[in-house]
Amino acid sequence: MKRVRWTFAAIVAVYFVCLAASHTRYGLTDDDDFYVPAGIAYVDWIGKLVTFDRTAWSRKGIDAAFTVNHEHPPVAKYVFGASRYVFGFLGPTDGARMGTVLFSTMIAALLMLMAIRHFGPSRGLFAGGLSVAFLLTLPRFGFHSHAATLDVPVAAMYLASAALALAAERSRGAAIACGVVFGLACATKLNAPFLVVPYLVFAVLVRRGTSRAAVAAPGSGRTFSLPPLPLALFSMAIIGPLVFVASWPWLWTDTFQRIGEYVGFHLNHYGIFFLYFGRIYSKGPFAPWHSMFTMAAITVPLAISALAIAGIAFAGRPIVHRLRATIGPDDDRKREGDLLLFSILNAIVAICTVAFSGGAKYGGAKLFMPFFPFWCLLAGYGGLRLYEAARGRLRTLAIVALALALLSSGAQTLRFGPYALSQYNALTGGLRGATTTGFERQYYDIAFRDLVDWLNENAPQNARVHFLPNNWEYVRTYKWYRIAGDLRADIQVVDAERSAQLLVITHERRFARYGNDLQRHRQRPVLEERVIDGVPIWSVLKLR
Amino acid sequence: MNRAVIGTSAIVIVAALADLWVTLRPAPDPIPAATMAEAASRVRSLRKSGDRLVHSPLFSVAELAPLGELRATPDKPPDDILASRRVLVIDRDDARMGGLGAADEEVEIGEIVLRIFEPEGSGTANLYDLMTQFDEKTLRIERPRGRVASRCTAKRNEGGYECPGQPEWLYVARRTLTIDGNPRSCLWAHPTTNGAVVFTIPAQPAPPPGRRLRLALHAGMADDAVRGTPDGATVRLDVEQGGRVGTVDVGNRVGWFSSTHDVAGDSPIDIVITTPRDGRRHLCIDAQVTEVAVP
Repeated sequence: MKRVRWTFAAIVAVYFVCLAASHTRYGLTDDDDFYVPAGIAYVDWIGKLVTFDRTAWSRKGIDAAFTVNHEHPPVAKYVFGASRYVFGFLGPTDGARMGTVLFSTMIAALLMLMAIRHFGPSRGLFAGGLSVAFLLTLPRFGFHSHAATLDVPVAAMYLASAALALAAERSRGAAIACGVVFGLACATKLNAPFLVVPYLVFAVLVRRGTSRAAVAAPGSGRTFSLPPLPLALFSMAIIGPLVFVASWPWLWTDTFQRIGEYVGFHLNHYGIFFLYFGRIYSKGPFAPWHSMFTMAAITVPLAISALAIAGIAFAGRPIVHRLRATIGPDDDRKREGDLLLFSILNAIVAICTVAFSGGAKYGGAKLFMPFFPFWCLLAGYGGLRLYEAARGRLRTLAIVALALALLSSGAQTLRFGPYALSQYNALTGGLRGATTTGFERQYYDIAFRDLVDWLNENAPQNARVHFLPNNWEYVRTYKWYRIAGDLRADIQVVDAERSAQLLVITHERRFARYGNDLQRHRQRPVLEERVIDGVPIWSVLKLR
Repeated sequence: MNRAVIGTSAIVIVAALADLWVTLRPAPDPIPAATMAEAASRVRSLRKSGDRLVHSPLFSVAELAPLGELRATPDKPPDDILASRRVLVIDRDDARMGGLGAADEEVEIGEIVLRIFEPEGSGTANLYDLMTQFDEKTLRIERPRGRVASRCTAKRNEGGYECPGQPEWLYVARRTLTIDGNPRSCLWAHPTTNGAVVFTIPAQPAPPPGRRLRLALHAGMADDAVRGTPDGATVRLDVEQGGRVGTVDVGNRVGWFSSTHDVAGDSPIDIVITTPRDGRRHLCIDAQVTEVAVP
């Protein structure tokens, strides 16, 4: 058991070190400027609270702190705010963004724990270790693990709630804790409440035929039985909402009105441009439902998806066994079936929630981050079963397949690095094929660090820089680089294109004006251009 | 079980190798300027009025320079444009733009292939939709008429753009208002006393022979603004393109009013909104430019 603990700790530590070591290479996104200041404001309010500053409790004090970014709940932002102080030596934004690294590391730990608990120590280490390795080498998940946004945090909190809901099948304490963590997950982002759907399906499936009471259907004389509802469900329904409201002081006054505003904001989310098969979608209509499945299919490294599909196929027997053995003693196969069934249900719901919600669809794979841990877990299980099924020489073949799977996803992560949102798998022909097919070559208005470095080294004194086609986002992000001292103090991002000396074109086709911008400036002298796989990502042009 | 192991391993290995190939392959050579210049020259000799010119999204700015003044963009033309206009695509031969189907004619110029798509029909083509394509260049405030007091370029937290130095209720953004009893999505277009709110639709390419451009303009005031302001003033919408093309008066009554106006290509269209009194003139508009066949 000691060996298992040490291996577990080592894998999670390697995951954390890999993310932390590459952290400052990742550029700021257009969301960081929303969540970092909010996190700082919230944590400052907590500071007042713990120092018994009475103004903290007043409506004025609460609203002053929590009006910032009140359209999203606060839990992840608390962590950003706290990380900003703990990791302040990295700079104001990179310090705060370490919070996301911690959430991502929490996912790695949970994957390991779930695998060990449900597959047994040795098998769990193998499957969990593979899952964590796959997660670490998922290029886009890796990118989002560095941004101060809510997507990886909610993936972590969602997984934590799911892990506890599953543990609650065998533990009363876990059932109570599940309600608390579920409440915190709901106070992270709107994906979390949807956990109830797969959990209900799971609870009904594994409790079929276990009811002690039969209910007569009115009129027909027939009886049917309702399975006993799990304690965790009550906990999620009762403790969850209380924790949700308690953790978000913004809701402490005008509670129902503000909850209504929160839900209303997301039901009527403003459109965000999304390029899909060459067409720009925003609102009316949003991108079609299949866009989210397509984005998953073309961005997850193919070998990982192949192993996840194999994992689902291998899961058939343990799940059937689990569904047949709804009564009787607990055993290893039952535990294995539990995790596999629950992972498949959650993977489906995590992506279907975004695909079929009728809400905004944008940002590549960003909106369905909770899907990826389950997908990696299934891939890890696929790898485990492939390894176990292989005997003699075939074992070498299986090892080669697993090694190549890791090598190919690792190569994609290393090749794209901070440009991970430009990564596509071979289904589209890579980045080049995806661009000609009509997908985004990048999104999230990333303020790439190598561009900042280039400007520091090459921009003239007091340089005025303008970005096209979406300058306003870079005004926000470059401000942070200047504060952190990463950008030369004399370089300014200016609102007016006509007053700029340097123009940066970021080639984001989802902005309808991009084509005309490119046409207007195509004959300007090109000072620097970042081209990946034959696809221009950004170009610096000299205006004067 | 051996078969399952071999089959699964083979699929995983092929998938991994395919990903490795697209990840590690060398970048293609840039297109020589002379080749691009030759392609541009060929397009100039082949193009006809109304043709839509497209270039590969893979071209870098440096590669595009020899195209000079050619009005080509990397945007994939929508289906209605493909159906109604001839489309010329300057493409990389080794990585062609997808979603366009088979070209009617192809001309090879070194690493470039010029793909020509003939129109298949003569239906209506949607060229511009104000609701979905407005940007920070769309709105300006003139005060008095003819003198720009503010360009509405400042990003608004709630979406859209506000007009620096102007009252906060002057902005362009998508709104949903109750108009004629129904929720209607449209663009906020509140007029201002002693000034004009001017929406600009960028120049659209001139139509080919036998086709013309048409502006559909829709406008209406929020029901509660009409009912709550019995003496509310009329709002006037002038469509201008060099000179005045047409006028629509939206009186103080409930309803969503539509009109159409013939417009010219290659010239921006202004929708100029004025009123003598701006009190509770919660006007919302929408507009589209389409290309239709001449009857």
